[in-house]
Parts: sequence; structure tokens; C-alpha cells
Amino acid sequence: MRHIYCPNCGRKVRGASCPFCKYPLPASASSVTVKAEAIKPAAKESSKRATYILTGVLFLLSGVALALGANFILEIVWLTALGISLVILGAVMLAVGDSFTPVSPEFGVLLYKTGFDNTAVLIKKLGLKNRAVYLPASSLENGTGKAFIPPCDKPFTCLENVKELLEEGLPIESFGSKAIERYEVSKTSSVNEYEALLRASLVTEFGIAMKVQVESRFPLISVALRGSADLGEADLVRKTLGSAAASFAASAAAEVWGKPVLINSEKREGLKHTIRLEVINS
Amino acid sequence: MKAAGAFLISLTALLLATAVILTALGQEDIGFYYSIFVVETLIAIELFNRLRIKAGRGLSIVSTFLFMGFLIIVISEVVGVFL
Repeated sequence: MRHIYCPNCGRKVRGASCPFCKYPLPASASSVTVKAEAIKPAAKESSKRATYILTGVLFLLSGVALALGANFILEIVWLTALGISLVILGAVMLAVGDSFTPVSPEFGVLLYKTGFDNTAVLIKKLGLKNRAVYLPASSLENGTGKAFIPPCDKPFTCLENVKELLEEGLPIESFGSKAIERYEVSKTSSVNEYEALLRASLVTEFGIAMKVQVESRFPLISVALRGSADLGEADLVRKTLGSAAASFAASAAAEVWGKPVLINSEKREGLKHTIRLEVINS
Repeated sequence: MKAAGAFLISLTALLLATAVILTALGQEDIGFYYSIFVVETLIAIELFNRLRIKAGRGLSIVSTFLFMGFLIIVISEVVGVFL
């Protein structure tokens, strides 16, 4: 049976108008049905979160009651141990349940694609095709790193310095420049720290790669990713800003070395995704 | 979030198996049970720390509290030896 969702309050309804909010329902419910289906995963995530938290609270309370009762009243050791294990499980469940985001990963990917499709349209309209330069937060006034699309492909041939790039270039908030704000990165110029940062973010947090390996022949840095996810960015965005992984790798390199970074090339060969970066001594 | 489900199932199985084995071995010290549970939980958290950062933070708070309980048991045992 197909359900119709009210476009106003989102509840499952039937008839000509919503019985809850009196909103008139469209004659053809197909478009409304599709929209409501798209929202479903987010609701699923929220309900998962609620289930984990509720189970965690139940485990915690019953564990405390069981441990105290078994230890002080019944004086049974194994039952007390069972109560303690319930308390531990309850606490862990609460911690894990709290980590569920209110939106589903599918919704996140959709938002990402929408954002970059719009960026691609703007870049195309402005006639820009050059590769972006990723600047560290320290070189910008507001203290957050950004990608700047310069007026020429080799930025420091037509521009004198970073100051000119800030004036002439088009500032773009990319995935990498936004994501790097989540980490406390200090300017260490250390390849090991850079690799650890990429592993913590791309592999552990975002899950868009399975393995990271960094090789550096300064000022050239090569980042090899295994099992890297293709998020389907528009070609123009890939050419200018790079893929999500490349954009993050460039932003992270800019912060670690404290210098502008350019994505020289990106290549996908089966499961291997190689990103070549260049740290610019401006 | 499949990792979270796998983590919780593994931890539940681990704690339950430990409780059964220690009971079968005739262990009567509740501090010993707690210590083993804490060590197992900390190892499991470390192994499954591929969860998101936010979950990592929540789990590190849990780890801290568990470790504090573990320290209290160790200190009380040490004090018991000297007194």
C-alpha cells in the first residue's frame, strides 16, 4: 500500500486534505511520496539514536539495581558481576548512541553533490578553469583556510605573492577547507604528522578512504589512497578544487607546512587514488 | 554505523563470556571481575575506535570513569596489603 505524506506536516494521511493540519493534498501524490521517502533515512537515524540511548539508560539503571541488590542483599558474586557488566554496557551504549547524526549519510552525500554542482555552475559562468590554491588559515584575516581560484593556471607567474592572490583570486569554501577546521593542526612541516592527520580524517572520521600513504620530495607531496570513495563531483569542480579527498589533502598540507598548496594532479587507477600536491614557496 | 553495532555485540559477548568463565573458575572477588571487565572494555574501545570523533569523545569519558573505578580498586588493594 502506498502512503501519502502531507507536504505541510509530513504525517501519513489520506483524502483531499490533511486531517491534522487541514493542508490541501495534491491530486497526484507521486511527487509528495518521493519527497517523503527521501526524508525517511534521516528519521531512521534518529530512531536508531533514540533506541541506543533508551537501551543504554535501561541497561545502566537495571545494572545499578542488580549490582547493589546482588552485592548487599543477596550476596551473590556472579550476579553482582553481571550487574557491573550491564552498567558498563549501558554507559558505552549511551556514548555510542550520542554519536548518531540527525541526518543520514545519503542526505550528506546529496547535500555535498548539490553544493558542488552549484559551485560548478558558478565557476563555469565566471569562466574560471584554473586550479585552486589552498591557503593556510594563518595567511587569512578571519583565521580560516580557504581555496582561492587564481586568474591564471600557474598562480605565481601572473601574481606576485599571496597578497595579490587574496585580492585577485576567487575565494571558495571547499570540502577540505571546511573539514580541516575540525582539527587542531599546528605548523610542524612533518610528513608523519601529515600522514597521521589524513589517516584520522579520511579513513577514521569521514570513511572516504581505507588506507593512506604519503611520500614527500619537498615541495612535492604524493598522497596514495586505497579504497577511496568516488563522490561523483562535477568535472569542473574536480579540475579546479579537486575531489573531496584531494581538497582535504591540500588543505591539511597548507596547514601543516603553513604555505599555499596546489593540487598538481589526481589519478584513479582501480582502487588506487593518487593525489600529487605542490607546496608553493611564495 | 555498522561498526557501532558490531562493537556493542562484541563487547556484550566478551563481558558475558568473561562473567561465565570467571564464575565457572570459582572467582569470588568482585574487584577482580570489575578489573577484568574494565581492561576488556578499554581494549575493545581502543580496537573499535574507528567510530566517529564524537563517539570517540563519549567513549573516552566512559573510559576515564571506568579507569577511575579501576584505580580505586587497585589503591584499596595496595592499602590493604600495607595495613
